[in-house]
Amino acid sequence: MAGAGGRPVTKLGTWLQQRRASVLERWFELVIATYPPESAAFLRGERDRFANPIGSTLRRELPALFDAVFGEGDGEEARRAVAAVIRLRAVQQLSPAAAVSFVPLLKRAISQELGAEEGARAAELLTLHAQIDELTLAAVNELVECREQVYRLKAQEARAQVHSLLRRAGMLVEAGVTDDGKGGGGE
Amino acid sequence: MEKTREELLQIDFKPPAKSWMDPHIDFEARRGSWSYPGAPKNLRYMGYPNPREWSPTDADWKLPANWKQIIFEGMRELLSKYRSFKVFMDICVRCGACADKCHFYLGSGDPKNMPVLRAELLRSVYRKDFTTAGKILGSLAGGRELTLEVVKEWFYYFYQCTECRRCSVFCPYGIDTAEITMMARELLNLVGVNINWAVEPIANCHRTGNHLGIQPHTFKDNIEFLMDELEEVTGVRVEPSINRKGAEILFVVPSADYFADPGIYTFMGYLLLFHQLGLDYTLSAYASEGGNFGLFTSADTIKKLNYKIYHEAKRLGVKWIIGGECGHMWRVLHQYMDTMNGPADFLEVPKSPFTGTVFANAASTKTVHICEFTADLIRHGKLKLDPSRNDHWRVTFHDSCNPARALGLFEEPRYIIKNVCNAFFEMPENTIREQTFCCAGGAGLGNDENMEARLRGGYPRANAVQYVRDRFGVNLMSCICAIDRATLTTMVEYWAPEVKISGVHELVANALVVDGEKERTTDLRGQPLAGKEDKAHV
Repeated sequence: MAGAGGRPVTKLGTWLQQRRASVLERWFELVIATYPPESAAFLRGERDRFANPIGSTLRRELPALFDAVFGEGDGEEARRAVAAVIRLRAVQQLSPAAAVSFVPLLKRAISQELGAEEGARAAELLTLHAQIDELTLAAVNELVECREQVYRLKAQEARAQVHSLLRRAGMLVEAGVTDDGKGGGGE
Repeated sequence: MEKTREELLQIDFKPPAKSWMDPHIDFEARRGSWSYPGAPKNLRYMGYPNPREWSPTDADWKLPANWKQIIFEGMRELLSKYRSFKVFMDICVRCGACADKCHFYLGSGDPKNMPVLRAELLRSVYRKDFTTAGKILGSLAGGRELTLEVVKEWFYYFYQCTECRRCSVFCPYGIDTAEITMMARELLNLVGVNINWAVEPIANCHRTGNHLGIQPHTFKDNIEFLMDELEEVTGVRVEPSINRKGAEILFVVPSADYFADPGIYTFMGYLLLFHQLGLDYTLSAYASEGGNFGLFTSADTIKKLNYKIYHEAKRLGVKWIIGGECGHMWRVLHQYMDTMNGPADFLEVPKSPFTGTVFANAASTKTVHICEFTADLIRHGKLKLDPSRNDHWRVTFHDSCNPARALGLFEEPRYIIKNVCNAFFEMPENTIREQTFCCAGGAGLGNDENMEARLRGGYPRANAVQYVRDRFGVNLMSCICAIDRATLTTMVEYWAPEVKISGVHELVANALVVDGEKERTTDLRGQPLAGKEDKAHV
């Protein structure tokens, strides 16, 4: 990839497209390593979507995220892919930092792939790292949203338990409105 | 010292490698993945050992001074009482066929959620103290000392098993891993380590007849209230039959069906069907619970709670029993009832009064699943159905674990749904029928403090739901278990909020053409029917 003077001849974006498969594999391995080591072989090896939900989610969404950032995709698609992974990691008893770590781990995968060439690409990497930082922050937003939803779901279950009591006791008087604020039917 | 670039990129969240034999659990850090302990009032009511206030986050779990002796003696007794337990402890060759089949493992990646390793937590103690090799070789033979940390680890992991038995389907030796969990829970129960979401329903069920502690007058009131709602939708007044001696059939349902959304619509469905048929049935305000949380606590409790249903059948003088859309009720009925309380020879072999079909499969328990009963009616053309009244639903079917794996009830619910709905879509085959994925809320784990474990354990099921939602536009998952209806509702809200949850008989009632009904403009939920949006007053 390097020219005669040791300078890169292709733009980083093009180079990443060429090395897509290899970078993705490195990235996937780094993310898998955030799970217990005993599970790595299974999460990596089983390709059936329904037999291996964690592994297949990562195999689907990491490439989608990569392509959204470096290829044809757009910001919306990148955020969707980040959200799909975070939704899972938000309920896996990972620390918040560990839960979002899969995004910045992409920097490491790229760095590993670049090897000695990294220094020559410093300027381009600045831009790329800024893009990944932005995605990391998007992941934080998604994580907080998921965690808040978990607590909302807990509260909702508790409320549902008393809801029928309230309804039976005739304490819900406003027709068509349930106590979760949504328009309910049959009240 | 300045960090090198390589060091700066070292974002390291690799979990530390530790031996599986290390039992330590940080309960504080793992809130969201364990259930609150049994309240002392419930333990006292049931006469269970060691009632006290405690929390898993406490260093001292206030076990009896001789806790170790109690557990060893308990294990000795269980090993001599149940040959199956002894065989399951000895026979596993750790082939790993079960390892990647548990929904908790598939959603977490935590190796101790592998059924083989979860069982090994108990088996290692058995091996150390009950086998010759283990006594001599200790950890070299896979033996492990029983310590307080091990008891805490048992509590954590044996209450991360829903006894769904998916792993057992894949075991070449036929080890029933749920029974290993049941044995571990029996042992924990001996020293007062259990969960409130199991022991409170048990205590309530024992006293008032159902998990929620609903007394007879409230039982009647609530059912009449549901009949009011049903009348609004159908224009038909259904008179429920309760505690009526001499009825032909006792009808037993899970209590959530007459008390909680969305089960109440299924309950309305049952009673509308019976009304249209003119079935000679009665509900019992005491046998007012199909569920049997004894299954999640102790064999003695299973037996007691199961006996209550047959006692009521005898008292009311019925001939046979129909059971509602309940899950683990069928594990108890089909696999334990007969040896515990059966045969129910004071009852008659069930025979449908409308089709003449004899349910020979229920010749001993005398209890027929309502889906068997209804599918038989449809097969004989006894019901007038208008499936277009479910056209606002695109339906998939979740095989509830126990009716599927314990009762083998695969086809009847599907047959019913296909007759009462026009749009039915299967989830992928390795997620349905005997390979169905659990809701992750069974066996007492469907409580809100355990929400994170439920949500990640629910991901294997949700992953298949997302697939049929995206591929076929599925917006309803039907199922035949009350715990499913309660916990899947929350689970899909997290993973696939476009999809709602229902029972099968809710769909039956939507389609069922009833004598004297008004033009239906809404379904039982009060949602407008397809093409009737302008007529529905919601």
